[in-house]
Amino acid sequence: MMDDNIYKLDRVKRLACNRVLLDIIGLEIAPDRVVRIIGDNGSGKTTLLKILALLDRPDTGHVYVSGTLVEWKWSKLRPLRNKITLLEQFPFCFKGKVIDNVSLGARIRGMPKKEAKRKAISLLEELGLHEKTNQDAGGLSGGELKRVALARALLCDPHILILDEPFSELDEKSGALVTGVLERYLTTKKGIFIYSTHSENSYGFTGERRIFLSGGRLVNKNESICLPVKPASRPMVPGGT
Amino acid sequence: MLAAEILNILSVSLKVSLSATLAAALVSVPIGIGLGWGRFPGRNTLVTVLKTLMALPTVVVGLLLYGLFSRLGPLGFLKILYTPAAMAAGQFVLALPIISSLTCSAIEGLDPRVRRTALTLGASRFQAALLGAREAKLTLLAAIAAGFGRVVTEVGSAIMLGGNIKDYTRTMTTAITLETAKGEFELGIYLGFILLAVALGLNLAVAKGLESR
Amino acid sequence: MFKTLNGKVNLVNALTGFTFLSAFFLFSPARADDIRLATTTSTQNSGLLDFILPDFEKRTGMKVRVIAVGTGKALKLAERGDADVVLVHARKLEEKFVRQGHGVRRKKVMENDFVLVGPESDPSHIRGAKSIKEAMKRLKSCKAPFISRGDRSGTHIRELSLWDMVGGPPPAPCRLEVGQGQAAMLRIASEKQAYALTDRGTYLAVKGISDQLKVMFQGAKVLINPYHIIVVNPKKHKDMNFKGACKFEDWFLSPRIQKMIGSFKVKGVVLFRPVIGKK
Repeated sequence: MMDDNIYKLDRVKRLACNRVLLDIIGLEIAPDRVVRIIGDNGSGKTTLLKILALLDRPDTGHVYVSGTLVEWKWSKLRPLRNKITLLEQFPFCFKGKVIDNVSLGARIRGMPKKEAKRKAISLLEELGLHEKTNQDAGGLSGGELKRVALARALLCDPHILILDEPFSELDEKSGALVTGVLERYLTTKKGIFIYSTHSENSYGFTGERRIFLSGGRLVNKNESICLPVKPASRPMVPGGT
Repeated sequence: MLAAEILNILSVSLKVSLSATLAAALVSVPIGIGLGWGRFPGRNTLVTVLKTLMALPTVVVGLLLYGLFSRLGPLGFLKILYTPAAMAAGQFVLALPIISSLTCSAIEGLDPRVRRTALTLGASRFQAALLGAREAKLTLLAAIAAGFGRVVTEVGSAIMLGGNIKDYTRTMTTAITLETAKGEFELGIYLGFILLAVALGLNLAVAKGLESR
Repeated sequence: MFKTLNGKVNLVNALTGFTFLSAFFLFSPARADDIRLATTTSTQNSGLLDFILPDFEKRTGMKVRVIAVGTGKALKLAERGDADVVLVHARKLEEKFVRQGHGVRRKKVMENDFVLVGPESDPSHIRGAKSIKEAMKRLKSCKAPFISRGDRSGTHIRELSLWDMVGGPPPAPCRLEVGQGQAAMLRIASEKQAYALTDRGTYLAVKGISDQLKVMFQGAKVLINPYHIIVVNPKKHKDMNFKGACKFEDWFLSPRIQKMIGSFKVKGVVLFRPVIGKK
């Protein structure tokens, strides 16, 4: 059976120490270009994104990716995970140079070393980090770390890119840089882009579909189906600012 | 006892214990990482068993392998009883639970983002393990050093499997046992100090090597 | 909160209790009239001491604490005052011990004999040797290795004196020094299918050895192995149990015990010959 939805969640529950982190009875995410998940701190955004990135297994329920039921087995997970990359809200950088961190994902996915380095350097430049290229990742500030990790995730070139609060920790200038890079990514790549914010009124992308979370549950709001657009049919411009 | 004899004993000790520790590390580090990150039925039991085996009496290992390697035992055809290889085998068994338990703890103690980040970047299980090991490098080296410390100082299995044969399977610890048996207590203590000095030197070398990185 | 506090208190209690308990076991007092006997492994391994000592303990009420080590170490222990009396078998070391004033009342109490043992196949043809000298010469030809105690025990010293008859011991691959007790040495010889010098008692008493190794040469005069009891010199170590040690020596030489020693058998063979009553 073909299924247009990129994600379908069926009675998914995630618990931690008897507390419900996430309780979603049914959620279908249509293949819109941009999906935005909005919720306060503790609303379950991060948990949901980790499940969507197939990095956290729900305690109960089923997850479908592009119509395929996810069986939480190593051999089955890896091909699915290869389509998805998550940028965490507080990302992690491995020991070593910034440049090696940025090119790591692309290298793992088989990009030749030279190409990965070249692309990493140009991405770092776009994100205003070119002077950090050969520095140790351990010495980065929170905002720099976030941009380095973003460059790393973008370089993986996944089908589904998931960003957990990509604009937090960033000052105005870095925020603008990130927005610019993401806009360009959306116009040049065909993939799907899911991100979360804690407020409705921050940076946003035109034509994004909005999902509201509160206390681990979905909240129905009218805006949540605002302006559905067909993928890649029109150029994206920053909205909401 | 001649200086040449002491040097010989020292070199047997180091050769046997270093090779046993390295072989054990090659097996135990992957086991430890698998246990540290893996979630499968029986995992907790396995971890507990390994932790218990850290206190495995050396003579029990000696006895079990003796039965295995003995001329009439199942592996008797190998003819390795009373050779350095048999001692190394015993020390391998002793180091295995130590290095794997400590590796497991080191990996469990890592930031959970290490694993998630590796996986979301597309790493295979093996690649993720390598990345994890790199992050925990210092603790892993300490785990291996602990394994070495255990085997280079043990006497029970070395004497049962090596036989304390002069110039062949006599190690620092079995030599100390012998000198004590002969009533040469002073010489035994000197040998003990040499053993300590060697252990100290090795630890300093490892620390220095890490510092310079 | 209270629960964890309670948990801690219980743990502390348990630890304290455990500490006291182990302290009690560790320091359970050695009674003043106990005798510390340092002896060779052969008397212990053959089972002789287990056979005769209960009689002494029953008669005198004194406990004998046996430290079974090589003769060399037994004498060293006595020299340092860690034993009251020794039962050993290495004439030269014993004489030196007495000469240096460490021991008094050295008396011969029994004897047994050494035998050369080796694999059934007997590659060096020791069985056909006419004399001990010839046997040692054949062993030196090195068709199979010879396992030496190498621990300055009575057996080791006797072995060295046998090699002296043929110009000294052969080098390493032919003669391996294992630096361990009699039983361990025999086990290694059995595994390696090698020759060894052992006292008959231990040879018969250590389980599984007599199936693997056979007696190749026996009966020569130089293979006789006399045991002596020496009491530690009370002038050197004031706190030692001199009285008990003398009592022990007298008891050992009493006709009844001598008879008991003469009746002690392992696998049907008498191992130790008493020195009185049979002459």
